[in-house]
Amino acid sequence: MAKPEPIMDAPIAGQSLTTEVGGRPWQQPAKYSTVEDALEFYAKKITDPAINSSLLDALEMGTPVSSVAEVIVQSSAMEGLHTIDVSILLLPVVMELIAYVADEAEIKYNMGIDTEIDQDIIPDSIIELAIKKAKDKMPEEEEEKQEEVMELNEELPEPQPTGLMARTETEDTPMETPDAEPEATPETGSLMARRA
Amino acid sequence: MSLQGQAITAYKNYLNKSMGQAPKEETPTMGAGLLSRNKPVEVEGNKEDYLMDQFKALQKLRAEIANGKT
Repeated sequence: MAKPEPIMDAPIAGQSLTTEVGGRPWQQPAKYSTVEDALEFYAKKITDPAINSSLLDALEMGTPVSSVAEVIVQSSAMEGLHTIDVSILLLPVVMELIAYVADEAEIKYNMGIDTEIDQDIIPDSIIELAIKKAKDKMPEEEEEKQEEVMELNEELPEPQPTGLMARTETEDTPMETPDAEPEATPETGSLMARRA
Repeated sequence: MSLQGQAITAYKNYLNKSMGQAPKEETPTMGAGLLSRNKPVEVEGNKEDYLMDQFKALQKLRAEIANGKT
């Protein structure tokens, strides 16, 4: 029967102290203490066609550039070439450098920073969700429209006939007759005039 | 001591930084001929980060490859 293996594969507490101080490469002073020196080292290594063939193979196989860059700078830090701080500072430039070499070699690569989404393929769950949302919205919109129509009808004045034969308001009202002046009785001063 | 996705974060930061910076403006100098002593002097405080410089140079090279210049 196989012996059960421990699930956690972490180092034992104090394991780093089991060797002599300074015995590990990263406990020694770094070979390249500045980012300029370290970048020069990487630029020479990565752009060298004799060395970078395996790197390009890894990129061609689909390994993200970010992962490759992390592995490269981390292994150099473990070898004591530079500190881990320098490696983190260098990461973006090393990524760009690797991408440049891959571009030059006409290799398709994945930077690892964006996930490609095929927009033509829409998952069923999203379609169902959209339909449900549309259904939930429908009754509310219809009710709102009906309310709006009612309000508009109330606001509109009654339609008035505009035809030629249509009666206007002025015709309905009785015509005003000018006050007739009392007839002045002709006063005749002739001899033959009748007198009351 | 292992890197776990720091590259992506750092790269995105650099991209944002490089896109956010205004391009360098060269100040015109009067009579800047070959024999002129009037040479433009780099203003202090306008100095860019060495790594950012390298990053931009590499981006430019990549763009040139993509555009078929080289």
